[in-house]
Amino acid sequence: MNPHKLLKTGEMFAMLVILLSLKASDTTASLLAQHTQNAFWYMPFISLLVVLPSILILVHLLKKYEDKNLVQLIEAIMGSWASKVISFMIFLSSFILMGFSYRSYVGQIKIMYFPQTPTLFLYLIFFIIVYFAAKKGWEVIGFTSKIFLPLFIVSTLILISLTMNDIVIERIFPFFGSGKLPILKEGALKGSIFVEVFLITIAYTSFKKTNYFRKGLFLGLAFSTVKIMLFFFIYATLFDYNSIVMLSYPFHDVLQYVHFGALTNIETFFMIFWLLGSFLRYAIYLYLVSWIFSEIFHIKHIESLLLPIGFLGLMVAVISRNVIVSELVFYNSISNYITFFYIGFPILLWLVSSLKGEMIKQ
Amino acid sequence: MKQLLQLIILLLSLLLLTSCYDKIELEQQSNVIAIGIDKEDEKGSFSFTFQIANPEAGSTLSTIGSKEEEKETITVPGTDILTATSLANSFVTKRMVLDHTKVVVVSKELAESNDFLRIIQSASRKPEIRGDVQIIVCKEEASQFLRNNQPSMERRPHKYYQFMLQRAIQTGLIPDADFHRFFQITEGDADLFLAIYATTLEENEKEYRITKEHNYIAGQIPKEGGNRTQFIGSAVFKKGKMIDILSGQETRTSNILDKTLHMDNIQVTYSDPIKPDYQVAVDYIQKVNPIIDIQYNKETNHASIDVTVPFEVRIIAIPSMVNYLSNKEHQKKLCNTIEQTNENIANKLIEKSQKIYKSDPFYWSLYIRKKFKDIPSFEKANWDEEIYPNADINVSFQLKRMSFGKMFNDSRLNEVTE
Repeated sequence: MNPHKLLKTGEMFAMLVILLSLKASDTTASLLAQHTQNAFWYMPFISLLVVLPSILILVHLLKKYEDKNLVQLIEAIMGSWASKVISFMIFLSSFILMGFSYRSYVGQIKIMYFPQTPTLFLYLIFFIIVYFAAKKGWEVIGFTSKIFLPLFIVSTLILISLTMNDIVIERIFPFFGSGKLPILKEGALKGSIFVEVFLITIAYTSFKKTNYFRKGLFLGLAFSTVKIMLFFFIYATLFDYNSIVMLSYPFHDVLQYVHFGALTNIETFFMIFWLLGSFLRYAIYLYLVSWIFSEIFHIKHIESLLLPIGFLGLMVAVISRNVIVSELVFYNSISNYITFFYIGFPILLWLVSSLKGEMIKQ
Repeated sequence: MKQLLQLIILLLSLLLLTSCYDKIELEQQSNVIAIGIDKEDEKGSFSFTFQIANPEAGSTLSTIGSKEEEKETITVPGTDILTATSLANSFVTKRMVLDHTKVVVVSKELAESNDFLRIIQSASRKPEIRGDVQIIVCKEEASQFLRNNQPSMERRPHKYYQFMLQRAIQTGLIPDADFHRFFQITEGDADLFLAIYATTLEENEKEYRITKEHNYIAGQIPKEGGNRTQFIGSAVFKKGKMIDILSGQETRTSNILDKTLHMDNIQVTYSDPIKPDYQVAVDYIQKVNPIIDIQYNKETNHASIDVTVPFEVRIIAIPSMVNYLSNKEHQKKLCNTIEQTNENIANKLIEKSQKIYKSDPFYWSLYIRKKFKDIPSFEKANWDEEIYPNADINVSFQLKRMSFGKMFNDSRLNEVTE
């Protein structure tokens, strides 16, 4: 119970949905389609099944240890030295992911909407907006997410209704895509789609009741999974499996294709909501990453970390843009490795914690 | 005071929203409405024709007596569309913008060559060219087509293409042939893609060939007056290469048999079963999609396809004055004739596609996909070379309802003339 705190289930739900469901609009879809062909639309469900046990274990531990957040929990269980290593791994992986998706989102904005603007300029604008949004603090981010979420959902519903005429359900067949074994393997490897669920547990204690956090987490997780799958389903039925592999940003291709009666070229309408969503997503992301860092090194003011960490993230994005030509290859393998780590560490925590419990009993 | 200052700062920040780099005024851009692509003699080089709309012409804003044209048509050589636009800028005053392109016109010569897929592929890489751009194949050079096309009513080109194609697609005489569909079908590598066929050249030798159904291809309609451009029929593409032309009637039949295409009511004539010299004109209404039932045998890789097309008709004109309204027997005969005629046309088209094209223009590979567990086995079974050409196909048209419009009966012509 934290009576002086204001965040409730609604805010948690909104933040998690924004964090996760925006994945429907980036390169994740075509990344999955590379290996699974037209089975990619239900891949998030397989990934969820793979990571769900670890999420449940983590939430169970958080509940058991009461008012501790992710890093404090790890410290309580693993002791100071080992906890530093694990926590720092979490920080590092989330930091790199932040940098990469930063680059991916700016890339989308540039290619689709502002082809003439220098990329560095877009990075800076994006960074400034996100920084000031994050600087307002965790609670303001939460409220903002809650206020904007209905708008995002309404615009999504409009978009879905506009595509209804053009989808061809038969395209989801053959149902098992590139074969049962490859899709199971790929689904398991791409558990990293849900990395944000692990990261947001750093905010476990910031809610009025921890019960609100858990409720928001599971509702948000279910809602986002459905939303991502719905979007992937639209991609699979609107473009066929051979075309989806070639499109890097299927979301924007859908936006360009739909028309409202005789009114064509309406993508800018949806672009506003998408842009707002990605700003918010990055504000949340940046705050979470800074928070993890501040907890590891016991730094009091998270807000003072936002600028250096955000700026370093920007550097990762800019540098990687020069070094790595194909996002597809690099991002693909990095997200595969990360999956193992995130599935593994809650299980490790649980084992150690229950062994400790045994020893105390004896 | 402080609030006022904040308000001023807030309002000033609006100035930033004009997006400095990508800001472009409407009058600073040349909107390309139609792109024509022709093959040049040299390998890998093409000529591009851009039809640019003048947004000022025809609008209420234009000054009275303004001598500006509605459109400008220019041709430049190049290797792909986008580099050609930059070359064109050496004599077009404004930046060429492809966001509003409605059609890509390709000459038959280019469509039949291997280069077509190459050039279209490179066009789709840029986000400017949208999925809803229609592909038109024309008999002559694309540049000639665009220059000859001089509509007198819809003089502004974007309106012309929008209305012309919209209506012709609704009547089913031309297919819906956008980029989006082209890539799905071509990359899907199982079915045939139909592109719009059009021409501005009228065929002389067939000038007076008047068929009773819409069995024309572009250039064959014996019309007088109006724009010389005709949009009717379709160009058949197999693996991104044009192989044949379908007539308007065949195109419509394939539209009927394809559930992914949407169609409006269409007016058709059938020969009168009682007095064969006359034709009965009907409104053909397709409210539900055709039912396609595929039985597939895995061992023999053989399929039998049962197609049921439920449809309705509304009688528009009975020039023969035969009483179809109250005479049940006559009605039944008419019913049979309509069903029979449709089945005959469909069977002919299917036979042609099985024997000559070895693939189908109806997107039927969608239905067989359910019979497979995964894509490798589906691709191995080879729909377009193995299954479809050898399949047993049975088409039946079922007339569900016949209505007679708002007239209860025709005036008795015999009595009137007597």
